[in-house]
Amino acid sequence: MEKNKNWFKMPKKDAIFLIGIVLYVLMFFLPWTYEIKILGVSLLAWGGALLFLLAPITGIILTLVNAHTENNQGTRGL
Amino acid sequence: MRATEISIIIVYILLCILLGFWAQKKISSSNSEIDNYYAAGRNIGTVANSLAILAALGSGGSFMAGPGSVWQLGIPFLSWMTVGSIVGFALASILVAKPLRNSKKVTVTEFLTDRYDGSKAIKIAVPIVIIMGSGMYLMSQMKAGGLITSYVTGLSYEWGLVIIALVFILYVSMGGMLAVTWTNLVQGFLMILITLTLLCASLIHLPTAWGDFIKETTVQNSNLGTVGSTVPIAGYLGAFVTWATAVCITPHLVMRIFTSTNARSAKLSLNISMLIYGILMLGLVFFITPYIGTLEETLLQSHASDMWLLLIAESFFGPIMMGIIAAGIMAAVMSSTDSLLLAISSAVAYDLYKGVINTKADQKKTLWVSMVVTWFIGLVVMLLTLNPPQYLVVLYTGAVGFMVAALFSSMVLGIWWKHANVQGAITSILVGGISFLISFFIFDMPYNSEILIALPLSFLTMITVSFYTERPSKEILKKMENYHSNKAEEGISNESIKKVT
Repeated sequence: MEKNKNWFKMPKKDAIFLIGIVLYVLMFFLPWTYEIKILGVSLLAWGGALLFLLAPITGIILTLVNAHTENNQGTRGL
Repeated sequence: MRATEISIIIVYILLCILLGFWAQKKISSSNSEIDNYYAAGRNIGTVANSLAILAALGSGGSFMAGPGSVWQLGIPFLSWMTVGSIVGFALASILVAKPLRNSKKVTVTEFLTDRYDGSKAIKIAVPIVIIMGSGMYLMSQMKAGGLITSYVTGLSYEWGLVIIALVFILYVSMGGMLAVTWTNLVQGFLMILITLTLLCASLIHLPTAWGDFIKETTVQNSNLGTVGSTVPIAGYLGAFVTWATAVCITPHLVMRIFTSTNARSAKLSLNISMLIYGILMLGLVFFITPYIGTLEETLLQSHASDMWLLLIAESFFGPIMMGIIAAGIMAAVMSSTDSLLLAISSAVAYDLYKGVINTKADQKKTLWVSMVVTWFIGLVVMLLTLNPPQYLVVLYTGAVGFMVAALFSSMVLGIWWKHANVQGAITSILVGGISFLISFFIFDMPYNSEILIALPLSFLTMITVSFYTERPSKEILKKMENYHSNKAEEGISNESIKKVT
């Protein structure tokens, strides 16, 4: 019944979230954000600040959605 | 002169000690003392755990020294360093929370030893890394504790340090994780209360529209909003990577996963705590820091930047609120310090003493050793902090980086990669740890950037060595499969899973 010989399975949504964070960070660390300023503060800083809220909110939603999916699967299984 | 502030602080300290006594009574009357002492009985609910995580992460560094650091190092650097830990909790909720909680282990070392076939080298190497890294971290927090107690009481820094250190050593030694959790709950609540109060006051006292206020401040202090003016970009990325990965392995934060009722609650509390932390830190950075520009230059120069938040608060409030604010900041300092002290004492008493030196030690003896070790380590670190090293902040960030470089790849790949084996783990701990120390002490690299060399090296070593050596046994992989499964999450014990399979 072994599905993958090399890796333990990660929920797809979690994997997308991980990749999303990496891409978000890479995007803001590219030089285009350094000189653009909003209220005198560079866009790189605003990118970091936005993530203060985005990362935990997405984490909460994913946990709730995964729990809901698992509950539904469990009910179906019964 | 500071009678009101001191009275409020004394009430708060007495509450912490009382919680320590209550926790000790509860632990000694229970049947599972070790679980209660190190993992608070594994029945801390989501809301309580969220507050405790907030308190454990929110230290003197982030709350008390936050605005001063932002003013000196700039918003771009501080925002990426802070968001590192916020993202780190989200990553930990995905990468490690479920298997760690489902494993029903008590410490990081115990989990890694379990994953890597009971290896004695892992049993010894991991606690040593934890003691070195967390010890330095603890020292920086004790220094902040000494400063705030000295500010409130008017006593010298040395006496302030001795008083606050004795208080938290007392309640940690008595009540372990249970005492730490319940005091952290009070501390987390106080931290939210004072930060929101400060935020409201900063909105009421705005000298002009908020946008104009920020703009004027960035003109006054040109480093505030500019990229690369205080720290090179590599330092930003290094700080982000250090904190984003640290949460998965830093024992005083990981221990919060072990205290949760189940894996889902652990994941939720990690993210809820960070949402609250993120909101509070955004307030500190964008609403309170600009007020530093309104203070007189001579006043700023006569106080350490760590104390600038209190100077701003003094311009808003009278003695009663200042007492509550000082108690809140003291709470921020104490909540990180007590968790760190417990993490180090568990590394010595539970991992090294019970795990290696005296494997037949019963619960009572282990707890007794733990109490003695807590007092010993607490007092030694307190004595060292009386004359702290000059570059403490650099050393403590380095200490966290060292723990990450040594332990992150063996933890995360151990959880997700079926090839990860004991040979790979040991060499990656050595290569990661040593390459970090070489980068830190020998090469003149940008602040925080050593991790960008050491962490990839550690991963590469883990993958290469594990790939070319023997695959872990089927029993270990089966056990890990169970830690990932929802059966274990639903509370089915390992024993019952074994029986079923």
